[in-house]
Amino acid sequence: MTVPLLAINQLAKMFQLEGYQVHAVRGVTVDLWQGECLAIVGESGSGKSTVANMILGVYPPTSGQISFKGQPLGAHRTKSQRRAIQLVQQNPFSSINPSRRIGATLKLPLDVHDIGTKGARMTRVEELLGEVGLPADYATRAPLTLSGGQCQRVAIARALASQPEMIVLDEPTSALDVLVQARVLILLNELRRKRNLTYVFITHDLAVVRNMADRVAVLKDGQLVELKSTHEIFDNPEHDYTRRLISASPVITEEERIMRNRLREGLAMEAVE
Amino acid sequence: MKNPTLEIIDLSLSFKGLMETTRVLHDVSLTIGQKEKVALVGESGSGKSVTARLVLGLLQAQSKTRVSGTINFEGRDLALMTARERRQLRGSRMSMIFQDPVSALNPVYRIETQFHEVLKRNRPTINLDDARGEATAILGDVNITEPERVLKSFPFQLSGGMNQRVMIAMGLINEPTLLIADEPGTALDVTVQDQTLRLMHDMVEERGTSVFFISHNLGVVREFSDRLYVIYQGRIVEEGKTEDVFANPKHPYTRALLAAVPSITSGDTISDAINDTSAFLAPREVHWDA
Amino acid sequence: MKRAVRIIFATPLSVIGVILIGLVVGSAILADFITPFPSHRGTVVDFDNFNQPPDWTNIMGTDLVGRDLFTRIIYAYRISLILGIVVLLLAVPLGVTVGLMAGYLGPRVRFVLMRTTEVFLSIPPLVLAMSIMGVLEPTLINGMMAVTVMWWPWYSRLVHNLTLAEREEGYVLAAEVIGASRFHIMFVEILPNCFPAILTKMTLDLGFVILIASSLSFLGLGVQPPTPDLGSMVAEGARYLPDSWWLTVFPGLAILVAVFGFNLLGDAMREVLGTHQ
Repeated sequence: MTVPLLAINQLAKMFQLEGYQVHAVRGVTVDLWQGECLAIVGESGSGKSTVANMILGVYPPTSGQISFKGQPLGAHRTKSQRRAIQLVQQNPFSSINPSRRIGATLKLPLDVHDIGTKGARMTRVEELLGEVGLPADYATRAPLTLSGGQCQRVAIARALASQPEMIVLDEPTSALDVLVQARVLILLNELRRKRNLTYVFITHDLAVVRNMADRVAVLKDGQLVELKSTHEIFDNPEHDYTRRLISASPVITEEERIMRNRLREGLAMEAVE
Repeated sequence: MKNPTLEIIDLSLSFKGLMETTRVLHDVSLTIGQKEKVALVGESGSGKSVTARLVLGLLQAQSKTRVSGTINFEGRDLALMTARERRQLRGSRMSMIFQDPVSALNPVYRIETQFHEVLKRNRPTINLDDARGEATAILGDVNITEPERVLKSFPFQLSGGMNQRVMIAMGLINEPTLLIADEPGTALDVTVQDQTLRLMHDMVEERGTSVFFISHNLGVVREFSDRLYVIYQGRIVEEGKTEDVFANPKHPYTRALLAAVPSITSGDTISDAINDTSAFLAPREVHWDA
Repeated sequence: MKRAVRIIFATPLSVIGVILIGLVVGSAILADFITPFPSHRGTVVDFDNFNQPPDWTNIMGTDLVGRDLFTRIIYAYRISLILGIVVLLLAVPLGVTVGLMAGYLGPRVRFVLMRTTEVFLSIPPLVLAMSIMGVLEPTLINGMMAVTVMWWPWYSRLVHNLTLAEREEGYVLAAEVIGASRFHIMFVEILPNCFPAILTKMTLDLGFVILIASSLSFLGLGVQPPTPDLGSMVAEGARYLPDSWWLTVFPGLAILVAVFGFNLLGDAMREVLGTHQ
């Protein structure tokens, strides 16, 4: 394991907005290793989604590079580079085209990347549905007849279809109810084990991070303020911002409550905006 | 319970669809005492939001719904009130805080105008200057340091957290006896949501307002409610004092909800949750709550 | 489908629209069988019966050379409908393609395409069509071309706006991440989501195209005699008002019925397809 799967080096992004500039991401450096789950946490405006979009090649960085298996990812990606990094988005209803059948949505990556023979693709679609725990006959259904959790499963199946090595999960469960969230997280963990996938897990929910990630990168105002293993970050959060994020999570048990209250004591009374 | 603020007795609701009738609420009964904070917990589609809308009298106009049961507010049956009386009630004796403050505030009016409108519900003759004064006072209570600037602003000029505070202030300025909070702050960042809830907690505690809190997350409810009801597929499946329910959840669905909340102290809660939650995982296709 | 029928029958105006358009389209298709004098659509002269008011044989009267007005109106419907449909079949694909490209392919393409569209939109439609017809021979084909040229920009503007909204949806990002072609994203992913609005507009427009085509021929720039046309019939009859009122009133009413009917039908479509905007 000498070359990281994904190397992000001094990544920065600046947006031009009607005369003034916004530094969305300023000099983020982090390596991702094959098979790990890295959580990128932060609030809205922290730059976490901008990082995700640059990993996916939605827009190029202003400066810095991203390399995949030692090869720099340029402005125009090859098909195999596209195929290797896939995405699951936050809003399950918006991410599935409402006017196309589920089968057509899942067949698209197979067609684009020419995976399998044409005749075998529909069978592959049914297998994909099975892999995310949906019945095969969902291929013929319209997205509007599916619940949020089911749509999210379809989105996961679509990401798996091109047999990627890495999946960017952009708040994949924050639009879901807790029970559905738990199921989707279980599914994501299973798939990662089974397929040796690498995840970039974008979220603001630290409790989810604790249950999913190997390492955590905390972003604030476009800067990396803390990067540690999940255990370390919960046992010993250094940055006030990290503490605040952890202590904002809903708590169930007495143990959690004690932990949260301990964190809160460490924080100065929160400044008013 | 003596003179409860809100009393819902055997509330049932069905929607007549084109093909079939969907029963949305089955004999839901629920009581909120004076100064009591009560949570109704369930998933989307469970019926929690329609219950709130029925209490606010926002669903009755529709022809394709059939409602039965009684909702008593401060001892008076809502069904026996005129539409005008019910309107009078909303925003004065009974107010509501929504999920997304930005869409709940009117984007084309300044905050002070919106406070003025709210105050006029109780006192139709109040002038803008008096309204401004009262608004300034209550904005101070919700920890807004520059109330004058905020009052002159339009909602889009304020941050999400600021708007949420304005919403809370507006919800409480008429000293309502009941505050209905429908997942307040879930559209915002976690830290802002957390602040919002703590602020709301302190505010109602001070004023002795009863709260009807609607949420899908038991973790959020824990600190905020004295008692809670769990609703599943339109039926109340569990009720009790919050600490009792957390210490000893009786219904398997409540246990599933508890197990499903990821923990900040352990990384294995999600994988452990599979046994508890699997019984409630049959795909359901009910969307009317959204 | 069942739902569609239910929604249409829930509002009386929609029902009227469906009935009116059913009558217009049905009579145009079956013109050869339901009109009393099918040969009167051409150059027939019957000076024994010229300029007769309505009676039991000629329920809408006869024209200046003795042809049955009712027959001529039904055949004029046929021409108008063909004209309207052909115009839309040409204008809609053109406008939709321009709109999709302007909405999806980035700011430079948008600038060029939408400024062009606006130039066309800024010229009053009738003036544009008249100037085209002034250069070209006034024939049916040229008439269609002229109306098409003034019609496509409306569709490119509509689809441009819809595309701008749709491209923000997650499914577009998903297709981009997969590596789908721009052609695929525009025509397979985005376009189907614009269909409800496009279909609604097409229904409404069929009435307006008929109206514009009639205006052109009223000015003598459209379909030429002896082909029956509602606009030229009104123009011809106008010289004999008020005595020979039937020469103008019935073709005028016929235009009204078609335009009104398509409008009501368009509103019904809007309800069914849920395109409130």
